[in-house]
Amino acid sequence: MTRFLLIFAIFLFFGCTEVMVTIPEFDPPDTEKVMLIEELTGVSCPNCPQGTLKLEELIEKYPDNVIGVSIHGEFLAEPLPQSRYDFRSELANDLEDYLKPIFGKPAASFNRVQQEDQTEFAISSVDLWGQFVENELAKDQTMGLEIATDYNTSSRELNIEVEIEPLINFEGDIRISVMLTENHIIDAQKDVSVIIDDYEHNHMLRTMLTAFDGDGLTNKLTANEFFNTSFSYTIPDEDDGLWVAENMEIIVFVHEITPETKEIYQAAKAYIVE
Amino acid sequence: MTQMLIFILIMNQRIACFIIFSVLFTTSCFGQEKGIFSGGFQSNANFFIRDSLIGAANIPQYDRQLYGAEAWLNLGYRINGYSAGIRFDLFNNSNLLDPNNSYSDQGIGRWYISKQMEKLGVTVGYIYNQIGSGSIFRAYEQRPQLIDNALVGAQITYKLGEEWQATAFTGRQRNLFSTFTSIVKGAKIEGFKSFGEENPINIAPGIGFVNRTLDDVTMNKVIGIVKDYIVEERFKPTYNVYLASIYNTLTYKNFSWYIEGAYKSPDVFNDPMAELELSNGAIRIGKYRRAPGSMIYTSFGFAKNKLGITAEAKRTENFNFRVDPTLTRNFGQVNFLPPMNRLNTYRLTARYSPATQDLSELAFQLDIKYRVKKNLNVNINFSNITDLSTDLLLYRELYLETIYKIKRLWRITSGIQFQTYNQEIYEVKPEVPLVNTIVPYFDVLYKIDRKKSIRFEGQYMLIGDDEKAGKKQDYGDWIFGLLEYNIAPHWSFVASDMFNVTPGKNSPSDDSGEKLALHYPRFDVFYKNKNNRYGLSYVKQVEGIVCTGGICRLEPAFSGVKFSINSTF
Repeated sequence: MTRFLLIFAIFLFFGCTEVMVTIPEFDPPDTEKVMLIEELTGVSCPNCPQGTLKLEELIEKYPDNVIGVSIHGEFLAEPLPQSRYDFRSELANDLEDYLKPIFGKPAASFNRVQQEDQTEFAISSVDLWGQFVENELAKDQTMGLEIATDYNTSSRELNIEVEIEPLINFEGDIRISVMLTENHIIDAQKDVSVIIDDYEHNHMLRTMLTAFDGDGLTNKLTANEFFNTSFSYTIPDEDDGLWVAENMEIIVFVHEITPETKEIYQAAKAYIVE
Repeated sequence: MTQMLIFILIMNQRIACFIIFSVLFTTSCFGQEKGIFSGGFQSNANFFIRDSLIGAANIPQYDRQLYGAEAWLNLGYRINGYSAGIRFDLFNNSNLLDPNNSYSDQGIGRWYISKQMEKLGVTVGYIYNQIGSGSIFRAYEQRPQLIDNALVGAQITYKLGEEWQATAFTGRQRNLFSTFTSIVKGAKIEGFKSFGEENPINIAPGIGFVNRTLDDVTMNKVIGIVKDYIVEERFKPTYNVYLASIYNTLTYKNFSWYIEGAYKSPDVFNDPMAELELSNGAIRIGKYRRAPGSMIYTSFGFAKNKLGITAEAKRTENFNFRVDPTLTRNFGQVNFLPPMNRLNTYRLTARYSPATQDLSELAFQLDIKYRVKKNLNVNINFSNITDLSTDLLLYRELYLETIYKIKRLWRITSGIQFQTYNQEIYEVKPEVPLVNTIVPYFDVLYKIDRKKSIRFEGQYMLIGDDEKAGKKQDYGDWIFGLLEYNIAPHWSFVASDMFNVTPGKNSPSDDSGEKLALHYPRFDVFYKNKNNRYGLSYVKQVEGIVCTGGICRLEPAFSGVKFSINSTF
């Protein structure tokens, strides 16, 4: 018996040492590819501020390559007793459904790409987000996207000119989406074990100038042939502390919808008031 | 032959054919022995009826799918030391995997072939097994939460004598209809030794080892996480983690003592309460760490005449063990840590149940049973669970119960439960005080005649105040009543209602914000015929923690009709 036990133990612990892995240093991406992170969040979601912190970190880490939007869909977004606003909207609900399945919030999608080895479409493990950003930015840039804005402060009319420069040929259901987001909105938010009354909400989706899943742009884009389009919108003039044009951003992105993918190829961002 | 045809009709896959041919082959070769065929079928069908007032809404089943179902069919055959089995699993818009989402798939959920050859036993396929209490390895199935972490691989057993056996296994953990990519292997030796009748001491010792080796994809995920951390927060992950446990049950006359100690070499895990400094200087809660872990569990039992005592203690530190450290919830768990609170079955006494805390927990439990008279039994149970590092109280329960029988006609059970429950930790609900409840209850069973009986349950939950919210804690006070009428051996009719008699902070409100005192009724009809049991239920169920076999999760409210079938053959 003793002999057997000895062999047993040796067998199991044979080769217990292994070569330690090395952690590569951060290397800023050498690309003009710009990606979109769509964060699914909510004011009643205790862990969502942790996701927001990560989103901010990624935006700051990749200032030229990452754009973020925070979407307050139905789940865990019910206003708190301290809330001034109800951030939920039909548009946000549609987007939340569009980016499912999710296991919980916060969750984020990265260029609307189903990440390898993940059962969620929008990923709720915040620690994995950085790797997904790297994965997307490691892909070849396939499109250039420029936006120019014209905003009339008295009429609050906003005009957006979009110029698309395909770097390869595209064929299929090519769509464009235009989002308006707002920063510096102060309102209540659950944060793990407390409720923060004056939490600063940033990158919050306020509306879209297209359908939630984009407007049809074209069925064909030819490499190096520019494609132009434009959008107009009048910013609501409300007296409740929201729709502050100076705090608002425009996000434009071009994407394709097929049975297999809804990938975003390129995104761009501009402030309404520079 | 009919049974074989069922196989072929249902399992249109190579592996099913392989098993069939294996069984046919063995049957023909060893035709002198009669084989034993067995099986079971279980199915649930849920019809979802949206009720946004109680929170039964905003998931696909309530919004558009309206229906969900699960089914499992097990088939097994044994002959001449061979055994083989196969299981078909089906999920249609099921909410079992994730109560907030819909899951559909079907296929072969399990198969295995096993052969016992004198001292040597061999099994390949989907293997269920555990080492000790399961602290370093437990492959098991828990259908109510869709946990099935069978090891897909090979296992050998070898008899080292009359009372001793060694087991070794290797494989990858089942992940629904595929497998996770990490490799899990392990071994154990278990035995029994009696020191004779004059010296009535028996021991049942065991020792086990487990090793998990990450695959490159998983390791790259871990490296991706660590790379994203600032230098001061980084650590070097390893592909391998090693776990060992040693355990023994000692019995002496009326005493029994089980002790198990387990150790885990440094491993990567997610610590949801740890602070992480980000590259922009912000502090985020929750990060991956690499640290060793340990677990000690002991249970002491005494039983003599009218008295039975069980005392348990458990200390857990960094003992989360998964096939992939980035997995969350119940996915990819390799081990199982036993719960340390009373397994309550009454509706209100089971409303708040503590999930095992695998990173930091210190728990004790004492259970005393005493037969005062032939027809009167008393049970006292006390459990106390705290955070190991902060001493924060997580859970405390005092449970008193008496069971009184009058002749053979009446059985009267009554008791009271005092509970303190850390809802902030267990349900991640911010700014909530410790939930304090007092639940008195009774359960009266009256046998009308040899076949008919009637049972009545009454329970009341008195909950503490949430002074900050100016309301009762959580959902407030509840009253629960149940009436059950049985006609043996076939029929059972149950009607119950859980009424939110004094609504609390989290109870649903009307448009004006007024908290609503809602009823949550349930009606069941069960029919049993030989080995088949059918159930039809109308259910309105409030959100709450649901625990099965010590594994707990927060389940949303349910509204709808359930139909179930359970058959064995």
